[in-house]
Amino acid sequence: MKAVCWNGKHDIRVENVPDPVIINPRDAIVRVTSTAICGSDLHLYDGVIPTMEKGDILGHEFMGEVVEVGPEVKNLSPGDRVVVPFTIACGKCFFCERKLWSLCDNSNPNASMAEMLYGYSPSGLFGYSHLLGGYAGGQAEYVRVPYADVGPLRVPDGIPDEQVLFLSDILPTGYMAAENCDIQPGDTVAVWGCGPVGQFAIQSAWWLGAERVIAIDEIPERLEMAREYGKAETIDFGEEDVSERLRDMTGGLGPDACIDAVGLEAHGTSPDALYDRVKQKMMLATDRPHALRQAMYACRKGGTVSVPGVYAGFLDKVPFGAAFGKGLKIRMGQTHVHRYMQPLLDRIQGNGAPGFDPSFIITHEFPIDEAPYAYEIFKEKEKDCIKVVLKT
Amino acid sequence: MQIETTEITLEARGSGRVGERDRDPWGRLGERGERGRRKLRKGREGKNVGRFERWVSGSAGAGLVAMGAKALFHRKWSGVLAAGLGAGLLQRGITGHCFAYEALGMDTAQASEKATGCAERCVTIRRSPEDLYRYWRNLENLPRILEHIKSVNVTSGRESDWVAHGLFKKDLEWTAEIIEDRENEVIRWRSVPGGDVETSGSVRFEPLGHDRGTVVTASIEYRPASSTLARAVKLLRKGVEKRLADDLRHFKQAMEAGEIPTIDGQPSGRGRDHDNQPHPSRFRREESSEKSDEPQPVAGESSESPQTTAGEGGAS
Repeated sequence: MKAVCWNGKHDIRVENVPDPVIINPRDAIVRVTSTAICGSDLHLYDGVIPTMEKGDILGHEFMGEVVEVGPEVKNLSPGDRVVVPFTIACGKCFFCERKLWSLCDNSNPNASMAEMLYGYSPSGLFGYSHLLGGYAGGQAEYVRVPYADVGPLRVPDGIPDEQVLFLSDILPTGYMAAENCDIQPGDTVAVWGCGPVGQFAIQSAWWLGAERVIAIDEIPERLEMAREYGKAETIDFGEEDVSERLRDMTGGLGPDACIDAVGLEAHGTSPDALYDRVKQKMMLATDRPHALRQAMYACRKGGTVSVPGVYAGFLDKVPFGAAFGKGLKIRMGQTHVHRYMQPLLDRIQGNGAPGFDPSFIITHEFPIDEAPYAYEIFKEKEKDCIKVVLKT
Repeated sequence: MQIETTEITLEARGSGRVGERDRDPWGRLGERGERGRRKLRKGREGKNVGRFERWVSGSAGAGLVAMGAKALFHRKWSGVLAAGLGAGLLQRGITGHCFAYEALGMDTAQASEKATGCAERCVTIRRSPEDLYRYWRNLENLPRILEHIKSVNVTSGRESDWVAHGLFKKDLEWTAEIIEDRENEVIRWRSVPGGDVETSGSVRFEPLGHDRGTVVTASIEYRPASSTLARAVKLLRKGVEKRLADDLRHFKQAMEAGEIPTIDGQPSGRGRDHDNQPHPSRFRREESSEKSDEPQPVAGESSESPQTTAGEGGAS
């Protein structure tokens, strides 16, 4: 089968590899029909995530048709159409029981490695480094899905792939980011990052009752998408001082909640951003938290900073004093995808009310062979690229 | 209210024993000095450098001292530096006590002892003590979760023959007997003399309230017989502590999720999989697609510019 393989920094190749097989009794094999490239895949592309090995198959946003099931999978059959969550969860441990699916105890074969870095290991992920399991990902024609009796969501025929694919990762991620803000009536929510996760965080903030949503970015087409589809007010951080503008826009109070949908590879040309880049190049720091710093600084006292943006290692010069002095609540973590898939599918289908179509964020679709080119334009934000879907 | 400070101050200064305090400004000598002196002496005698490190330190030190002496003989003053450094390294190698480590509060001797011998670790498993005890007490189950154990053969009520993977494909064998067995609470065992390895261990099962399951605490000790030391390297190399942690994790995964997560056997773009030949598909039998019959394009040779396929979706 064809598979998109990581071969080093900025080196993506579509290789010919064997089909996956059932390894454990709770596995299933899915024939992938559509798969997407995630913003966090770009961290792998840039080589800033450790423990990648040449030849690793990438991809954690995928859906398709079940073609084979292991002996312990009773709720799926070959032919079922499914969307697969990117976090792998056993369904039986302390964390899965409490619906903290991305913290599953039993899905990372390399848990001892993650424990050395984090103290305790989170769940395994598809296609996202050996620290998190080394599982072969879904940017391929077929993929092996562990704990298939817990993860995959059956979706009805008749809805195009493009409308349900994002249940695998980014739609639940944006939603959980907004849910973590604990939005109250009258609240203003500020979202840093107008990539796909930010766009869905904006939508979710409205669903959860925000009074105003303010979106922050620098790329014109992303700001335009936030205005047109997100109905958000926008700030271009290349043109104005974000904190001051937010203060003016919120009557001097500051936003009630701030979402960092940017993560560890933040852009920016301010002194702290440049400092981050220098330290990262010198291998003295691993993450660049420019957006997080701004969010902590700009948030009103007693407000919430919600962090869906991926961080991997260590941060430097984070204004924790400001966070403490203002009594901020900081909520973060990898998405508990399983919790949100069915409710968000219901929202997409509408069931009486007008449905929600998430496919507006797709700007490019390619056959899987074009993956190397797709990564390049997604990374450089060329050709107005915001979200890429690969078809097999 | 005026506070008379003069007399109080004199009292605190110990009525005249100022001289002693000056000698010992941080009070390490204590009231009679005995306890303080004992403490200093213990520090000097205590070994805080690991075995292997002592060998390296000693050899390097001896080498440097020789080099330094040679340099001095040729009237090069850098010899002083080399000889001095060498003497220091030699000292810590011979005595096992490093003053620098003492000042920093470091101790590598403890670590090296532990890695070769014994370990204890606990884990919480969401199953009842009864289920976990029953699984463990059937010792022939254990090779499934103890990575380094090849087989266990129960020969009587209390005795069992164990085989572990050894180096150079020569296995290690011993017989173990259960010396304590309280149902659903604890199992303790030790090896019978005469085997390749002396070992003892125990596992405890303690229930938690609030439906949280059981705390399983296991301890294990391995002492290879000197004749089998080389083969036992495989057993010990990973570190008994780390191996125990992994084994308990596998026990938890097997008992909670019913399987141990793994990626062995999955495809990748490296090694034997990395030959860019068409691999016969296991799934395409019913599909009428012609793709599977043709050799797949090698990455890099495919397509022209993809502008023809770009531009779907709702971008402004």
